[in-house]
Amino acid sequence: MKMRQSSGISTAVIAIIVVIIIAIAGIAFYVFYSTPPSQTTSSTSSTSSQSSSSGQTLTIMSISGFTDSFYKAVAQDFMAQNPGVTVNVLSAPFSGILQQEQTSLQARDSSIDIVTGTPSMIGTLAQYTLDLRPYIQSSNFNMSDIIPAMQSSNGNIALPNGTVAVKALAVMSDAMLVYYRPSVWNQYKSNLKELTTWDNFIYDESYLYNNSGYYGAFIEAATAHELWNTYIDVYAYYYHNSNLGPAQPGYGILFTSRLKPSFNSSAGVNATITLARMMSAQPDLVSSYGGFNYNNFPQYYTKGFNGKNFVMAIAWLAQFSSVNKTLNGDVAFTMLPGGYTQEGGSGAAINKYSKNPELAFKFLAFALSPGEQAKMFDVQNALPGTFSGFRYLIKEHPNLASYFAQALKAVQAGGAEPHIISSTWALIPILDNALASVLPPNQATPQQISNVLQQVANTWIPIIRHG
Amino acid sequence: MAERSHSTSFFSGRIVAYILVLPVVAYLAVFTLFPIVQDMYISISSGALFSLNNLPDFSQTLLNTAIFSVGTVAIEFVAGTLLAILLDRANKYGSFFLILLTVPLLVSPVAVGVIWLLILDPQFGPLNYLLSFFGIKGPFWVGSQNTIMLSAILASSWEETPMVMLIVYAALKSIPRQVYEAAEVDGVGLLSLYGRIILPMIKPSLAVAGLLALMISFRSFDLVYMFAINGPFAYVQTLPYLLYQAAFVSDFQQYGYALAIVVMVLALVPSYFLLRLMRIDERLGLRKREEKKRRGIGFKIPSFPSPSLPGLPKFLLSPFKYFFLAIASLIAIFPFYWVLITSLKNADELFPSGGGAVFLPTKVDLSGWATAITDMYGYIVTSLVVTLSVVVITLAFSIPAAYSISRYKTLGTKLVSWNIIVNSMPSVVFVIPFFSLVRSLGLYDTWFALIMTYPVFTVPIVTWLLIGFMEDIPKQIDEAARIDGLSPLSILYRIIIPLSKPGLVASILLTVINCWHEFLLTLILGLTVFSGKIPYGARGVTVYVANFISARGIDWSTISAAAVLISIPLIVLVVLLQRYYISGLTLGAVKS
Repeated sequence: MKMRQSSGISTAVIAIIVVIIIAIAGIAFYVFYSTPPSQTTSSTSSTSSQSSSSGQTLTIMSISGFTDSFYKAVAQDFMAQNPGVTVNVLSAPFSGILQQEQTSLQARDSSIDIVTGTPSMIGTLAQYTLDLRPYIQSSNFNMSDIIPAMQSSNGNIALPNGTVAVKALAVMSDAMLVYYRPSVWNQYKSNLKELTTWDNFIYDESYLYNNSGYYGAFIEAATAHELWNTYIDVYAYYYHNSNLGPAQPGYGILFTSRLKPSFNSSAGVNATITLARMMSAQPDLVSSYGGFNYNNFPQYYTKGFNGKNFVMAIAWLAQFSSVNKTLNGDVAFTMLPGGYTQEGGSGAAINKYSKNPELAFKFLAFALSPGEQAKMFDVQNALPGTFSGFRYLIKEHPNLASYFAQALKAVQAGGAEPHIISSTWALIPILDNALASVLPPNQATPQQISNVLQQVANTWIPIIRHG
Repeated sequence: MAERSHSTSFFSGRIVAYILVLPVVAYLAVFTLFPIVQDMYISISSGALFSLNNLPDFSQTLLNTAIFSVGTVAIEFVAGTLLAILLDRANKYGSFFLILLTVPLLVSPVAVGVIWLLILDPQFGPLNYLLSFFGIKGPFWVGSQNTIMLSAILASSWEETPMVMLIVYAALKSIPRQVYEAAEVDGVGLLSLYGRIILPMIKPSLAVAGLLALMISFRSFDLVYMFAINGPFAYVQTLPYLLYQAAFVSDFQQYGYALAIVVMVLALVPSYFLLRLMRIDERLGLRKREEKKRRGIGFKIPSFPSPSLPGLPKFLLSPFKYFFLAIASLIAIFPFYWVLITSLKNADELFPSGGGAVFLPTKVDLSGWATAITDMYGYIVTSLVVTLSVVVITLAFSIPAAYSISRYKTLGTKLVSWNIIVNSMPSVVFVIPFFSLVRSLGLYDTWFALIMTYPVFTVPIVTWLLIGFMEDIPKQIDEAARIDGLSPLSILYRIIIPLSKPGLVASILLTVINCWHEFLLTLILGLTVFSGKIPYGARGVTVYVANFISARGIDWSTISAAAVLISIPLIVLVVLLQRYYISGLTLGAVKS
């Protein structure tokens, strides 16, 4: 009898506990759903964030080590000038930012107002970002201050109807070019050829490899992304020396029109053969190229690989300052053979689900003002996206005037225009993996290379058509 | 009187049994059936399921998946079985070696990725450095298309071999010592002893270990992710990674759904055999055990044939077995040691000029630790809150369900079978529907998103585990309590739960480990880091570790510190509660 009574109590207690848990869960969900998302979605890993109880909040996603310090510095200044506004700066690594931005935008989430990225990322995110032309017109923003080569690769996206939308603003400049060590280069200069053609590049690379005790060149060929860039660098030379015509806005040199790839041509085959020769010129490294990437370039170029240092490298200008610092100034840069550079850098776009598009544009315009653009160098060791930013830097650092002038020339040069439409990110691995199958350590005949490039073109077209 | 009152009470008998199992059924129906139906519907209606060949690298990825799965299972099975035999023979220091050899299992797969990227670094990693002493020039392991798959297989095998070892070891421990003594008396050689007698006796456990290893390697995402973002990914990406890329990076979501179906169907193959091996109906007493299949449970000492296979060299019986165990333990803990000292090295010793590896830092630099601790605050809070919440939810769902199934055989074998099938499914099967669900509920990037989805992977395993523990509690105790007038709920609360304490501890441990190590869901369903606004910021500790690459290079000190930081709490916890952990891991496998 006693037992029965206690069992009844325990049942009641359990029932009460269950009811309480359900009630708490219900209250939590009610509180959650009754809170306006725009005021609650700000969370940050940035040191620049401050809380504001009543004002507007802007959230920016940046690439760690690439643009994050810049946006944090700009955020501080913007908040100082706009009391009541809170700017959160999130950061993610290069390898993860696109997934984070894409997933958030796919979720129609408004918690990120401004998405940023490299040209191919901006292209991929374009379907979720605002066309900024109305904002530019209504605010009288001076677009001509942005370096045209940078804007065309970081923000101007070709639409399927043939028009070009401004989907982002180029906030940072960058260019892919050739690095070299003057101390070694000058020592062997009399035996080296001027870097006007890729044949000369291969000759120099081979000569240095065989005679100097150095590797001739660091060539980034990781299929995660870098092979795409290096291939475009080499391909630009053959593209411009063919009759394939001028680069298409948004579609770059890899297309002659929206659905007509250009690389499934003799220019594409020649570029692939040249790249294969560049890789074969350093037999020690043939199996290592796939591991040479953007992230480990500073480490291997400055500390050496397998006990040997590199003389040349095909690398991004954004990494120059830190490499230059580690090598105590023993590094210089020049254009790619043929006088080209590949446009890089970073753009910033506004999420079309943002609750504060006007404020977001105001922030971008502020980030592009000369004093803020100078911070791209001062806090990020990178280069501004505007002419006025460069001028400001030359005034601010007169001792570096020649470096800035040379860098400005490089970022304006272009010629190796990347491909930046919505499906770019899907196209990259297709080309990269196809190239990897015909590049060392694999071997392929010109006919096999041609077949592979044709297959890539055939795979790309339906993706672009539906993309 | 008591009997009558009991039978007329609403909260009694089968009704209660169904009520107890209802939450799990409802939860799994919503969170597993709905995603599978959604996967099927979209992949078929979009036509993606029938055009997967159009997806770049699909065939190569299938091949990669096969190579990765077969490669890891082969290594894990052979190494795990050998280690189990050595451990079983090492009476003196067996427990000590057991702890050391289990360490890799406690390291998060994402941290395993970091650890092995360090070990395999061609320039500053210890492996190539050691190879150079033998005149071998080590390859660019992760950077080369020829060796990246081998690297991933090595790393995965390092992590999962202890699981196979534990299952086989537990099975070996269940064999009566008389078998060995009789064999010795008959002069049976070691190869014959194990090849013809012992291993055949534990065949079901060996099969379960092999199938579990296959299921784990097949669903591996975290480790493959870490290698794929650092090398020629086309040569290492497996189906789960391709699904992630298609759905969340390349924006081919319809192919993501289609790949989920492919992954699910492939995952069903090992789970089918596992279900057959586990003989759930016999386990639940729904069918009489077949005597001929009972080998490994009720042993009869066999009479030995004359040894036709040679005996193994004597040294296996000698103290040399400790030498082999010591070497194996070194392999098990050295990578962890390496990541620990990497976290303490300064820049000069991290990347010595001219290459090479520094095995003992001369100066301690704690800056990496300082950065990791400062940066990880928000990630740790999220992981802690989510882990604790999921532990509570899992137990709240699993205890009543396990009780109901164990005592009332509710739903026959259906729910248990479904649990095991769900447990074999890679989380990528569910991730796109979860993403849609979380998005439509407005829960994206909140703790709720993780708390409501994680139990899909903890409830099935914990329910199965608790059924095992509850089955071992004599039914007569329930009968006596019932005669004394206790209701089924009171029996559960007052008798079964207290008697199942070891099972509960094991369940909590497994849930904590699963949640703490979880990577894919927090990567997809989270966006920001918790910064004080509850419940926003759904990125857990594993994401911090995975996001270690910056454009200026890799901050190895910080990321090594983070990898150690997220691994240490679990290692300490499991070392303290080792007995429960091992019983939890091996229960289902050995009892089958």
